[in-house]
Amino acid sequence: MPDSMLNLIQWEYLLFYFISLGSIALFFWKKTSSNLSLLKILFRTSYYFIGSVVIFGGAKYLGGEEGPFLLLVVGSLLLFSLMWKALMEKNLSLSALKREKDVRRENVILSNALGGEFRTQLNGVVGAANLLQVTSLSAEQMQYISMIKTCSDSLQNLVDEVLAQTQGPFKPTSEGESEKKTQMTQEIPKTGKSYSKGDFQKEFVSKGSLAETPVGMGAPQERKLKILIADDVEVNLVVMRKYLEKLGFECDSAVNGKEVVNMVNKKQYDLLLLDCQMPEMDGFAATTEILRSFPEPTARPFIIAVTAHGNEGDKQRSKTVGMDGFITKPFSIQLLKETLQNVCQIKNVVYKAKPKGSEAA
Amino acid sequence: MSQFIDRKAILNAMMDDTDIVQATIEAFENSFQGLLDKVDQSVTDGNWSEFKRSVHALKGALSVFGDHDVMVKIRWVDAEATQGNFAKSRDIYYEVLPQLKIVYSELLEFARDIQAAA
Repeated sequence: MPDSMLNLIQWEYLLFYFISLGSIALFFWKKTSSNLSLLKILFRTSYYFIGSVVIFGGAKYLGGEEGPFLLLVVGSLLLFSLMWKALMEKNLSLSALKREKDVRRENVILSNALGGEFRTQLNGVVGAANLLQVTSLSAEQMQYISMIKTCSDSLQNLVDEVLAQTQGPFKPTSEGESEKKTQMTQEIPKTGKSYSKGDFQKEFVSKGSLAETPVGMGAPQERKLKILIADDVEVNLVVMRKYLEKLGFECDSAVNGKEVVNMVNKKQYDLLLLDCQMPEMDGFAATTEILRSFPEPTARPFIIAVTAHGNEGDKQRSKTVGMDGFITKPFSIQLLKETLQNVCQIKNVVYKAKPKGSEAA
Repeated sequence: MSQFIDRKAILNAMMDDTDIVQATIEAFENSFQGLLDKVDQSVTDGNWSEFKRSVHALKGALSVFGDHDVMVKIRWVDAEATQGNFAKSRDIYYEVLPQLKIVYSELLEFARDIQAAA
């Protein structure tokens, strides 16, 4: 280092500024990145400042004029190495975070797959119990079937709880959201069945012709779904109407298939929720009539069979006559909500529910 | 503490909306006695198609309140009637009738408790 250059720079001032700026930077860095109290941070910063001044003074005393310059070079190298180390650590922690997220995501996928497997087996048990129920059995055998069903329900709840725990802390992205959704219930057109937590069984199958037709093109229409419900049992009508009201929808109602056919001829409905067993004309006959009168599948209403619990025959028949899906009684509001959301998607209508009372929609 | 109905399950299925629970129980109350009378009348008349319809309607109305032992038995009654085993169906029905009435009173009690809490 030439003497003239050393003379041009006042190393004392330069190092003083350097140390001061370093102390201030250290203060703010500690303040934002640590949970230490302000007093402790001030103490540590002062410690650094005083220490630096002492080292600088010592270097000048021992090394003469060039001592502080050498100290500056060594100090800078040390600072850069510290910065590099900090950056690497941060990078590593980010990678670890990413890896953790990936593991969680894999857990979600795995638990969904396992959940599906569990449910398939459970459905087999419940289905067998349901089939046994409709055969001639003694009272004692009925008790055993009841026990099987109770155990299955408990197991179903257990599976749901385990899945909830596995996926609990995971904050899903848009992709994760859809993963989580499949855990609870699956969309009508894409899947076969859906099951969810709770004591009330619910299922949905859609293999009807409308579900396979393309979804309406263009911007979704902003209107409410026109819904018609049909059941000969007053309690069921009340429940369906109340559920729909809770979700912010209105509906018309009918008590048999003949009324349904007449009403569909007079008004264009988006969705029919038809009980299968009704006097005069049942839901199947009504569906056949309606399908006959709508040559263009996309113009006809979406028809969902509301079948009695355990009636496998009705489920099969609903598919055969061309209904678009079925839900099993008793169903929950949540299932109805998901059904309506999917029908809105198929009918290209904005799901715009104004829930009555609480945050149902 | 109810012997048959599971209040929590009913509330869960109805999103804890006590208005819906009350309205549903009220509708059940309105139709329950009428359905029992229809079953009795159809048995007296030997009108098995009416018996089958009434039992089916009873099962449908009761199913709204979830699964319980009485529901399982009523389903059995309905299954026997659907298969044409009317005598057996009738016997099971009268066997389960006292329990069915307990379920009915439990539901009314549930509705009363909801009203009292409100």
